[in-house]
Amino acid sequence: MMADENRFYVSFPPHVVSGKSVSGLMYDNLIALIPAAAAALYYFRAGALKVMVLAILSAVVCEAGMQKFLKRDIAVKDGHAVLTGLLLAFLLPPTMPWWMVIVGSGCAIIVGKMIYGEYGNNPFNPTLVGWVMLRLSWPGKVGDWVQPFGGMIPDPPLHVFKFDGIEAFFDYDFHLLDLFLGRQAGGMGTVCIAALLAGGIYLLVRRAITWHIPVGFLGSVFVFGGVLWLMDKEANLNPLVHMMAGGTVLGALFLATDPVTSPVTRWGKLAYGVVCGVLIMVIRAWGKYPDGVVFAILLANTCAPLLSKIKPRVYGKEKAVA
Amino acid sequence: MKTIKLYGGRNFKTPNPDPDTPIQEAPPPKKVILPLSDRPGIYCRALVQRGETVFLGEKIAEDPKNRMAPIHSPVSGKVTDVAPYRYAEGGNVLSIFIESDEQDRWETKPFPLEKFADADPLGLIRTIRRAGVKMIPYETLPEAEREGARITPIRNFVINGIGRGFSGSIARRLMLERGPDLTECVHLLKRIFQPEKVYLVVNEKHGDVIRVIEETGLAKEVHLIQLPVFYPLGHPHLLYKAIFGKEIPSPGGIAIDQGVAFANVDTLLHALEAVKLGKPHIERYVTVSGEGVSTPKNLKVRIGTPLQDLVEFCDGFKDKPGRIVIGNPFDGMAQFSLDRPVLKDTRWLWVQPLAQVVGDNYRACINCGDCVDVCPVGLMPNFLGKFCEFSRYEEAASQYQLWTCIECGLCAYVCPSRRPLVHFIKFGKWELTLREKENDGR
Repeated sequence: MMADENRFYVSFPPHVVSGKSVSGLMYDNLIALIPAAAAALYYFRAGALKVMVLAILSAVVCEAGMQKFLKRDIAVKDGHAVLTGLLLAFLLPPTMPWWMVIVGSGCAIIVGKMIYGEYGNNPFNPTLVGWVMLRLSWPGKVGDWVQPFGGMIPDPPLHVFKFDGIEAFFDYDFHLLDLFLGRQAGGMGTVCIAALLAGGIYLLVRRAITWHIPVGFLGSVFVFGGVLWLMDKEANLNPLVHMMAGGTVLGALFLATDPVTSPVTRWGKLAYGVVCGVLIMVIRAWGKYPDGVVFAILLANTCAPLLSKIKPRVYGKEKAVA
Repeated sequence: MKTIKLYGGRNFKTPNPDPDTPIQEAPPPKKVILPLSDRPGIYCRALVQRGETVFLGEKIAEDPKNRMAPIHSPVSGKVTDVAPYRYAEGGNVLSIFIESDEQDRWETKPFPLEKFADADPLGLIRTIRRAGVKMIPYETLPEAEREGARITPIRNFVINGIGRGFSGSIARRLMLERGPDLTECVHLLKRIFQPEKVYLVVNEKHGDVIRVIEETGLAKEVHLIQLPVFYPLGHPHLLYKAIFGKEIPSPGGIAIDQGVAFANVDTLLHALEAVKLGKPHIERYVTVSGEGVSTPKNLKVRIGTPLQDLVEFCDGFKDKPGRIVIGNPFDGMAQFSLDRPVLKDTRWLWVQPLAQVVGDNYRACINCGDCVDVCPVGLMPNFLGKFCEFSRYEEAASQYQLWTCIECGLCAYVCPSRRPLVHFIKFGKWELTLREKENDGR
């Protein structure tokens, strides 16, 4: 008995941990997405439920199957597969055929994450990989927007602006409040800005994300859009419409803030947000796509390692002698 | 649970009941173990053999090259063995084992030097060194001059009253209880080093300490600096920046080069005892705390006392113990045995209950950047960890300043993936040292 009592753990310091964990981050993100999910269910009813459940289930099954196949520990309970599936569903319209949702979600997990190893090694945000694959393969189905419950028009505002022109946009008579509350067509989780902002505030309070990426992202969209608008008010949209239409807020708060694919340092994060915002506005103003959020973030993901080179000042480092 | 502030402005909760009780004297130990080395490669030579009788305070080992302070017997009794003993820090070290006869017989009565105000500074330094107190690095002492080491005059002397910034329990109690002695310590300091200024750093939240310092007249002797304390502010590099607003050139720079010396409150008191009472360094002040012990206490113990005695004096373990750590929970060493003795650099025994031990499973870095935010010296521990994990030590050293790391442990503490970043960094430094040695040999 004595011998047993005198056995101790020997390990490297530190001997205490802060209690923050990867699964905790994922669950914080999921909790923050609850209001947006509720809004999606309200505006798109049964279709939204079907797509969300299918996306989450197939993501979880794909991850577990892949980990089994690769003889790794099954780690689906850290919540990342659930988060990936849910975010992918948020970018899709509620009319997606069931098999396309499964293909997209599986592609997100397998091609976007598992072939690189575990979560942390993927160069691109898995959700976006899945969405881009669907968007390039079946553009008609991904762009098959429906009118939300209580909404006015069957097309997202940015699509109206891109394809029908600014006059058509003014003819529809959008109110900013409609956009804010979610009475707009679009990806089913992206429409309700109020719900997304509530989730973002929760993330900031829980310190799951820092303010740098959302501020850089939304700030640069607002400034870029504002400059365009001030230059020619007849041909360009109000910057507030840019911020509230399309996936801007979902991207700023949940897609771009994915820690793996964003830079490490604070200034790098701010710069990364600015890169995202500028790319979105470039795509929206001169590109082919009406809403460039996903492509802009994917492009910015490629810059993230470069932006991580913005290092903090190291203590006592001598200045380089020129 | 209490909240501690970490560098970077974040607050974290940590279980650390800090004893704020008067310092108690632990009973003298039955058996002591005294290692003959305190750094790798530097050894004392034993002056006693197995079976010899030693007196209390008798010099039993010394370094012929004078690089290490001599060792004195903390008890009177018989040397039972001179043999290697395994330490968690550095493997087997030749150690002297003494069994006490519990009579505490002095060899000769120590002859006190009552007045040091006009004593020779060199003589004072020799007295302190002969008593076995490691006051400031050897390289700066006049004795080193003969061996070609350069000597930097000490312009500013900083007395650290905050420990490592995490728990300054011992320093706080000493300042509360021994204010007049500390004033004398400052006189001694001024006599030996003749610094331009002496600073005393205290936690600004400890109003009672500040009151005692002002009442005892210590405040007139020193520049009192009150700082908002966070871990690891007590590290000389960070304290230097907090006081002087400048930085020590890193990596490789030490405070002495800037003419600044740091010393802890307890070291100063030992030096004072050595000069004033002629007493060799045979005792230490140790905090025993953590949720694993029944009554956390501040203790005065003999050097060489096994940790077992300390724990028993604190009424044993509360729950089943998981880890016993010498040092603070962030960068202390976990020990594997309660036989391990208290040494000259032991200040804190921290016991963690088995229920709070977390496993060491870790996963891939998720790039969250928390470690970068929290690093007190502005490093990027995530990249250091990745480079060292995959054996690319040179890149870690050249691109990410591996050697600047002060190994405080905050990065691994905040890591959501629970990556042992400090372990990777220490491992990288170790490997680089080995490679350097290999290259020198070629």
